Order: sequence, then structure tokens, then C-alpha cells
Amino acid sequence: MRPGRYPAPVSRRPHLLYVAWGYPPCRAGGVYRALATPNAFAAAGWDVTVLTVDRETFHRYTGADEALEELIDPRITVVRTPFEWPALETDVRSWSWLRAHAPRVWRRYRKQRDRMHRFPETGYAGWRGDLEAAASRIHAATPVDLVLASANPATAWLAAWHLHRTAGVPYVLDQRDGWTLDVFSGDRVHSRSSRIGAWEHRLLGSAREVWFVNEPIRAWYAREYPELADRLHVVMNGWDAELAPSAAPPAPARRPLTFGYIGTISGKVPLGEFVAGWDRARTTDDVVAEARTVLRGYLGFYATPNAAQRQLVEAAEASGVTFGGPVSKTEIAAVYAGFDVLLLILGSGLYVTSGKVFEYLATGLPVVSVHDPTNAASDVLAGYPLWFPAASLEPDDIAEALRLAADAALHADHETRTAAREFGERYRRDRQLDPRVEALTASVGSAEVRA
Amino acid sequence: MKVVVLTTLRHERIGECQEAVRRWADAGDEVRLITMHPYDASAWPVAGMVVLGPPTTGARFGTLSRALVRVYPGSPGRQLRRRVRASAEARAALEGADLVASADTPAVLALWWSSRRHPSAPHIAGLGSALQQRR
Repeated sequence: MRPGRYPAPVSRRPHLLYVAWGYPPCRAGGVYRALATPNAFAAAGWDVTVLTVDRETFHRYTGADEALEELIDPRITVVRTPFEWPALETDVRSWSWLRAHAPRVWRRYRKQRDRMHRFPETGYAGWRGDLEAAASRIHAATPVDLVLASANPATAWLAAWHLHRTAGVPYVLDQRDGWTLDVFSGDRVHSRSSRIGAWEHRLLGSAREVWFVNEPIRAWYAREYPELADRLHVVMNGWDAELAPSAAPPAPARRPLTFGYIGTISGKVPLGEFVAGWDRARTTDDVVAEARTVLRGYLGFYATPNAAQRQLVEAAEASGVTFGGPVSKTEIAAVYAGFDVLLLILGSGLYVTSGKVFEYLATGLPVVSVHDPTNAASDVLAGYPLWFPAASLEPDDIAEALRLAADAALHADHETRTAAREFGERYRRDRQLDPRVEALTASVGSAEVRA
Repeated sequence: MKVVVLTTLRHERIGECQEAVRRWADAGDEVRLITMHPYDASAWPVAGMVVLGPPTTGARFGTLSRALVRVYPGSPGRQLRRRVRASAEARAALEGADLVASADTPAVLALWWSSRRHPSAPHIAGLGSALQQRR
């Protein structure tokens, strides 16, 4: 930051510019964090402007959940910019001759065009121009005191970088998972000397704070950038009080039990392993044999269901596993109310937490973990009285965890169920966000807000 | 709604296409299939099937023959496009369609050609996206 260019502290209500691509009505998993963060700042007395892409983007490409828009704090101003995503455009009426006749050449051309935007993020870099122009307009109309820019995509950070460069506005990066870290393998996927590595270093270096979703990711970044360690913070996802399922009454469930999974069923989710374990449990345990499993969520990350995942869930029907399709976040409480045991089926990785683990904790129900035991979600669940982790992804281990969870659903005592509900209370999202909102409010220095 | 599906798919890979056609038919749509390979129409809930004949591949005469076929008469996609253009029945089916979809990548060439002639109807590459469009 160029010293002296930014007048601080401010004497009016501070103005936050929150930048995120995936904002309601986007239905992607990360949208709840993007919804909650600016809401928390608005509740703390900030003037908040959200900069995101137009609604049409979500209707056409990712799928939309319009009910989520109703949860945006009415004090927030939302500014939307156009966004083109030609690679996902399937209506060939808008395709050029080149794309239809020489798709490989067209892809190379698009990649080259993205490079011209001087940011190494294929598919999203084209957003840069509209994003920076919109950020400048917002700042000109009402001076911005802090920019909070959230990945994914990293292109969103360029609004923060732009205002910092041109007007000296401080910024916070919400990295969530990390740009150069592969959260599944734990490897650095882009070297420090690569274009992405250089950009990340540049952006982190000038940030006032950088947020991550869990401690393993923060620790990895602290090791990579020790000079920035004191600015790196964990802001866990937590569950949203207004969207979360109500906690189950501390009473035993009745047979036949319903095991439930809610979440995106991507290629990383070990569904095949779960079904093998489920089949094994059905042959060895009477309670599981008469139970059923219900899967709810999107098949893959896009509006169009992933064909491989669809085949997988259809094949699982023979084992008493039914797929109920996506569920709106606003209907989620009713769906949870129909479950007796929750299935946390996650891709493997030391750095993978997943947002749904927090929502699961809000229910107070038994949770079966079907993921690598070293997964970061295990750190969150450790100590939860009704947690039944599979020791491995082998069928016998999964079957054993299912059997124990079924037993707990029927026979756990009142004290254990009450303790489970109390444990879940710790992970409300506002409890994760409040410390950072308070610290940033103090650092921006608005007397009015602090009063 | 009148739906036309374009495909170059062979028997062993047609299952997903058949499933999509079934879903459209279940929803009350009238589906026509424009295909290079012949299928038993009674096994498909379609209002019509235009069979344009299997593509020339040159596979029987080895690598050189296969390479020459890529030049002329061209890839299966180019052959499908040419035959659709030449077939009055296929053109008529496309003319009356409310939605045209391609079931496989090679069929996109014929789909794109049709999209230039009938820009009022959505022309969707991929059956998943086309089903989504219907919804």
C-alpha cells in the first residue's frame, strides 16, 4: 500500500466491498459462506456492497437456488456484472464456425485470450475488466474502506488488488481452500516461480488478512510464507442459524432407520466404497438390513448432472440406496428431519473439511464418517459424542461404523444426545466470523460502529 | 414439444441416448431420431426415425484407408452433416423441431448446420444439457 493515500481512520460508517463470484442465487457449496460474510458485516454496522456476477450465469451454468436471495441482508447493495462462460455454453446457436468445426483450435484460442487478461485463471480471467471497472465505480460513488474478496475463482481478488493499487484501499483475501495447494493430495500444484505462484505471493503480500477454512491449510500457508504468518487466520465454515436443521429431539429413533446424505455428489465422493460397505452391513446387521439410505444433492458441480455420477447412484438403487435429487437450502430442515443417521461421505485429503460437516453437527444426530481418517473433517468431529468414523474405506470398516451408528440412533441415552447438541452449538457460523469482523472493525477504526 | 436427436452412435454406446429419449417421451414430447445406424424403432418411444446409413470408415482396408477416408468422405460427423443436408426427410424433421440435440460429439457438426437454418429452436450439444433445457 502506498502510504498516505488512504485516509484512516474513518469517521462515518465504514464501507465494505465484498467480492465473490458465487453469490446467491448460485447454488454451489461455497455460497453459504459468501452469503453469511457480508451479512455479518452489515449486522455489525458496516455499509456493505457486494460485487458479483449476474443471475443468468447461475441459471445457465451452475444451477440456481432463488430462495437464497431472500436471505441477503436487505441493507446490502448488490452490484452484478456480466459474465461469459463460453466453454460451458451448450446451445450451438451461439457457437462460432471455428468452435463447431475445430474445437481444439478454438480451445487454444480461448486459453490464449484468457492470458491476454494478464491473469492466469482459465475461464474466469475474462471477468477482470468488468470487475475492476465496477469496483472503481463503486469506490467513486461511496469510498470503500475495506475490500473482502473471496475465492473461488481467484479472479475475484483482482477487484481488491485494483482498488489497493489505484486508491490504497486495504483488503482481505478469503482464500478458503488455497490456490496453489491441492487439498486432496496436499501437494503444491503451482511452483512459486510460476505465474500463479507469483500472483499469489503478490496478492498475499499486500493483504491485511488472509482467511482459510481450516487449520491444516492455514498451517501449510504459514510454512510457505512465514513472513505472513501473523496475518493468516482460520475462519471455519460453521452452520447458519437461519438455514440449519433444528436439532433432533434427544429421543431414540424408531425402526426402520433412514440414513441420509446431503451434499454435492462429485467424482471425489467415495460413493462406490460406501455402497460396498452398506451392502456388507445389510448382510450382517438386522437393523441396517431393514434401513434405507437417501442421497440428496447435485450430481457434479454444474447444472447438467454428471453422467458417471448418475450411473453410480442408479446402480446403487439395487442396494436400497435412493437418490432424491437436489434440495433447496430453505427446505433442508425438513429433509434432515426425515433422517435418523447422517452419512459424511467425503473425498480424501488432509486439508478437506467440507461445509456440510458443520450442518451435520447442528442436528445432534449420529454421524458416520466415510472418508480418509486423516481428513480435516476428523478434527472438527473429534469429541462429538455421536461420531462413528470408518477406520478405513474397506467395506468391513464402513459396515462396522454403520452398525454402531444404527445402534446409537436407537439406544443412545439422553445425556449423550444432549451433549451432542451442545457440541454442535460451538460451530455456528457467526461464532467463526465474529472475531474477524470485530478485529477488522477495530482496525478500520470507525468510532460510530465501535460505539 | 417436438424434439429431434442427432447421433452417429453405434449400438454399444446408444444406451444413454435411448434413456434420454425415454425421458422426453415420458414427459409427453414427440421425439424423432436422426441416426446413421439402424435401430429397432419398436424399442424406442419415438414418433419417427430417419436412418441415414452407417458412415464409411475405411477400417476394413487398414490404416492408410482410414486416413484417406478422413479426407473424403470425411469424419463420421462430416458424413452425418452431408447426409442430413441431402435427406428431405431429415430436413423436414429438423424444420418442425422445437428442440434439437446432439447425442455425441461428431453429431455437433450437423447440429451446428441445422442451427444456422433454424435459429429459432434451441440446438443443444449433449443430451444432459438438452434434458435440462426441456425442464
